[in-house]
Amino acid sequence: MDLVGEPRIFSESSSEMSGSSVLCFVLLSVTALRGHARFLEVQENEMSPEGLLSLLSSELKRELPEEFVYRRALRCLDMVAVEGQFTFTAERPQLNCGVFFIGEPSDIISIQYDSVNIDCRGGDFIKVFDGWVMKGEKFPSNQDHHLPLYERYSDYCETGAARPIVRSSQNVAMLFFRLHQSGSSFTVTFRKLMNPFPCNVVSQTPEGSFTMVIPQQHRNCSFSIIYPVEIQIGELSLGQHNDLKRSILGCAGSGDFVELLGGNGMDTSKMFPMADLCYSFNGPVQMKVGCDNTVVRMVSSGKFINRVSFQYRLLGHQELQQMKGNSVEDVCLRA
Amino acid sequence: MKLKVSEKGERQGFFTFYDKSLELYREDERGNGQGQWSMVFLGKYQCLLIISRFHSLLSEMKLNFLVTAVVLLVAFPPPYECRAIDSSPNLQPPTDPDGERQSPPVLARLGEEYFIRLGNRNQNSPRSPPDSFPETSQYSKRALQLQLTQRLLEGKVGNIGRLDGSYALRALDSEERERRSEEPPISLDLTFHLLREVLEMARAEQMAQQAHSNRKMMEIFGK
Repeated sequence: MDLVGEPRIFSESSSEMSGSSVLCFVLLSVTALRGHARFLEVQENEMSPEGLLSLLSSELKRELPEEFVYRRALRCLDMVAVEGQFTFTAERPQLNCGVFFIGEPSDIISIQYDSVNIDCRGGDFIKVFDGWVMKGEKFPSNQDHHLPLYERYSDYCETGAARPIVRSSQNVAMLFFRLHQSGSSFTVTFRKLMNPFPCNVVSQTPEGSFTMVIPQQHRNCSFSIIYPVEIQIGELSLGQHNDLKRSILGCAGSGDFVELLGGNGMDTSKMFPMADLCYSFNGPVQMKVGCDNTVVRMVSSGKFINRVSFQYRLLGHQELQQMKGNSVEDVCLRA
Repeated sequence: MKLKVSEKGERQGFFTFYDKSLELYREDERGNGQGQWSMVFLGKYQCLLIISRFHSLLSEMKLNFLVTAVVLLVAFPPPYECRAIDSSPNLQPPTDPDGERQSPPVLARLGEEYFIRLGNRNQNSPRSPPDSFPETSQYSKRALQLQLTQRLLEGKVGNIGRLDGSYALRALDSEERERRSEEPPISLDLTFHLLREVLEMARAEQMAQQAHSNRKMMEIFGK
């Protein structure tokens, strides 16, 4: 559970509770509720400002003791979901490597270059991509991302020295690298930062639930599940008023709507719409999408606060076979 | 299709120059096959209008109409709209000198379903790796996937990508091309099946790490 709120300060009438211990308790509860509770060394009446700052701020260099940082070697093809320090050492020329990073839906990714030993002029490169790219298709798509394509790639050889920390805009990012010489290596630190209004998300699990909120912003947000799932939409709230008249024109005319997409690629703009929802409702609506990638996408005009809550579960093999038998045309052609 | 044309004309001497901002409004969906033709006609209408006006003026001087037309077309080339209205909006197709040089990706080892595509220019076709390599499609079974995953774990994956020697050349003007085209210059080719495999491995690692750190916390706070 994720609590974003004001820490409650208990007002104590007792004069025995010193100020520093109250502060210590408050800080501990705030960090504990965030799930990032950490070892805090407190001596009586002594709290260093660095210690306080490192608790509250995720961006600053954490003062975690060395033994608490997770470390491992990086592979040429890898997926990383846990924070820590990752090192890749080329035992032989590795010309085409890619690493996926993924966090919780409410995280954004932060990648920091710790030490890099590559030969930029010799053709080596390390690039961070803001999103995921697979088979030439990117997530989030151009329509859902605020940056143009070339700005979503960040090259270490060009800007790495000046900008050692690269941040993504959503809970996924990728690292591409090419090392010609054996012995070249690099180390990156992967962190997850808090994102209060997650917009584009790739789900880590085939089952789960999520509530997407777009607070009066003119943007499109996609929630991608790379499994065939059954989606159950529990609540949809588009706009301040429950305006049923909008549905007459169809969703295309409406500036705020939710669409269910299915497809076999990462790019949401190339997927097939399974359903359109453009009026608010309460009560579950479910749909089975037998595609490799299932996406719940919300389009928001910016005039209203839009919210959609949904759950999803993996479709079993039997169900998929049944769906294939029942449907006249199979929109998602499965290999 | 009803075409309403708003023209901002400006008289200059004997000619009426139609402003470049020629706006076409499509009224409704009752389209007919003349749509395209109508737009072309409009462009020529504008040209012809200029020519006819000049002709009426010069007929008084008793000059050959043909000479007039030739002179006009040379002196006043058809405005931009005459050509551009019926042409596709993509006036400059991006130069793709290395389009033909693209060879299908190389599968280094049997059973490996992934490869890296660099500088993919025309990869819009949904071509999945197993289709390109018929021998691997038979082997898309769980056992092979597991073997591949294990191989990945051991780090024995070799150079599975396409050795694209022209990457260096592409890098020079890749920035410009990146701006024009929306194809990602660097992409990873994976099947969804393999992506889910590595995702599940990453999840398992995360769970194990979470359990480990929880245990550590309990030990520390327990003191």
